[in-house]
Amino acid sequence: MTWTAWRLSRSTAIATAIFAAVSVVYLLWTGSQLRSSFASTGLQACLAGGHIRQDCSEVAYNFYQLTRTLTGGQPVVGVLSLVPGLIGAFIGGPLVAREIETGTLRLAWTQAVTRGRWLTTRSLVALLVVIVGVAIITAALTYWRWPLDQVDGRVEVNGYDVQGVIPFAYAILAFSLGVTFSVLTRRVVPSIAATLGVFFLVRTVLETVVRPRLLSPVTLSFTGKPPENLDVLLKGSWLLEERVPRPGSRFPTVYTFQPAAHFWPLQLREAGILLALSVVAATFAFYWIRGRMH
Amino acid sequence: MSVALEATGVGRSFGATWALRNSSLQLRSGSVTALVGPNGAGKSTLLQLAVGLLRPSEGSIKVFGFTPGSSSKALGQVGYLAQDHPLYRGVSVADHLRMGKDMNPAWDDEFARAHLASLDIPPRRRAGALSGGQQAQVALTLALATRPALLVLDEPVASLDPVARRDFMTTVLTDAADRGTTVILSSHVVSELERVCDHLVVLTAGHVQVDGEIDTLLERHRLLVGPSGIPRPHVRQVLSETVTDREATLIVELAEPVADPRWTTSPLSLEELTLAYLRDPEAGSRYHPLRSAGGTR
Repeated sequence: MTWTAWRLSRSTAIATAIFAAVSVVYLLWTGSQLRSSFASTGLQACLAGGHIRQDCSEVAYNFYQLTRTLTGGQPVVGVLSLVPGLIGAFIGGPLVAREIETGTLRLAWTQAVTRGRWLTTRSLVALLVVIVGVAIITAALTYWRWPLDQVDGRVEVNGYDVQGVIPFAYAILAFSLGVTFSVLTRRVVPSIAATLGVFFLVRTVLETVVRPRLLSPVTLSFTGKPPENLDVLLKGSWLLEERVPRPGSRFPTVYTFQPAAHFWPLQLREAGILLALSVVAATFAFYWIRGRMH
Repeated sequence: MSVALEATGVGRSFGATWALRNSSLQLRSGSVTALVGPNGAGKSTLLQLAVGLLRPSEGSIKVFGFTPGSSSKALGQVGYLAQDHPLYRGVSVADHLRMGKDMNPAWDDEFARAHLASLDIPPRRRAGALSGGQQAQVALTLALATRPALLVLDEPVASLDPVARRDFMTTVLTDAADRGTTVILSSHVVSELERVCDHLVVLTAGHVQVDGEIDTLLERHRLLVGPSGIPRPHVRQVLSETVTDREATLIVELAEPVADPRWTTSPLSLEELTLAYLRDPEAGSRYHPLRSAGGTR
């Protein structure tokens, strides 16, 4: 069954490989330019001296100017951060639905392989394609992001979404939702549409509502003069709230943020939630085709 | 004599509509059964129940004692060819064989290769690039190479030209003869089935109307022609009658030989017999050949 599953995923694998290759070429090309301007503007040296972005604002401005003209800058990551979910949805969504549409499911389900084993093997092989594709793109994005990680850290949204285990977890969720809607809708286009709809809803809720609360944020409160180590504490953090009173006011200055050190704990917790949702979706699909699709 | 397929009061509904209702039939192991009926009579539903693609809404169906589709062993005993003989369009013929081998423990690769070679089907061609007749032959080869004990064919020749039809049926019958495969095939072209099949099941509006050995059925049905005034012979049922001033023409199921010499009797072809039943959905004839032949169940 493994060979069959691979044979039927082969064209998807080739398409994914081509997409990944194009992304890698682009990211390596612009990434190397990003790195050289990071060094040439003096921003790298400024940050290495223990300063944060705000202290190096002059050279940082030059870096951002260069970045914008060289690469189009930040928007690239904004688009590529959606890629893991899209790969998962576009590979998972048609998995069963296409076989229903072309009639080949009646060929597949009358071989000496039970439906449960058929779905499991087909899904795992297709999921492997998704994971390899996401791994290649994530590796290239991590290379690309490096200078920006030095400037902005990687806990804030743009860095967090494209690095670590989160791209994989989102891809797996999109794929599992795809397989589930594939057996529910029995049609390729509605399946992909429903998958993308639910996926982006889940992602938005997790990103805006759940993620900031996964770990208690750090709150820093002081009146008057800021503490000596404020820069160190805030460096590379994800600032959730900043309350700065008018000068001379009696009210304290309050910073609420997820510090840089929370990157992995946050990623692992969020990935755990995503994997649990994926398991629920996949289990539903498995029992649906064994019980209801008769 | 053993039973290959046994359906007991089996029925299947789709929403509020019943495609098949309370139907019982038995297929003798090694028999070749024609499943005949108008469009929408429930033929495809019955065949999909037999291969486990559908589950019955009522009653039960067993194939060699197994619930169809319940395990890889149950699946392995049945070969199925759907109406549109589906293949993966972008996948080559050779890779279809490799997938067949990958999924079926009893796969006969030598047969599959030799058979496709004898039909001049190029193994490296994509399935989508083959002619309709060739696709049907490839799909049939895939079903036969799994070495099934029961072969289920849904309208196998409906989309084929006459030459391809003959080639296709030759392949099926050769296999049935060589290996003793039990075959059930649905069709609405009755004329071709007479020389091919030994058992007939007529399905009308979701019900089994006729279920019997073709030889027995032909023996028991007659076309009677006689003067219009004379008394009717004792028969089990009259399927159709045409009476003019001078002459009466009846299609009947006999209860006993017609003694009155004023009736001329002649045998029916399978097609005439089937049509007589299809025109009269209330009529029914069952012979339960397995039970009458000693009740082996």
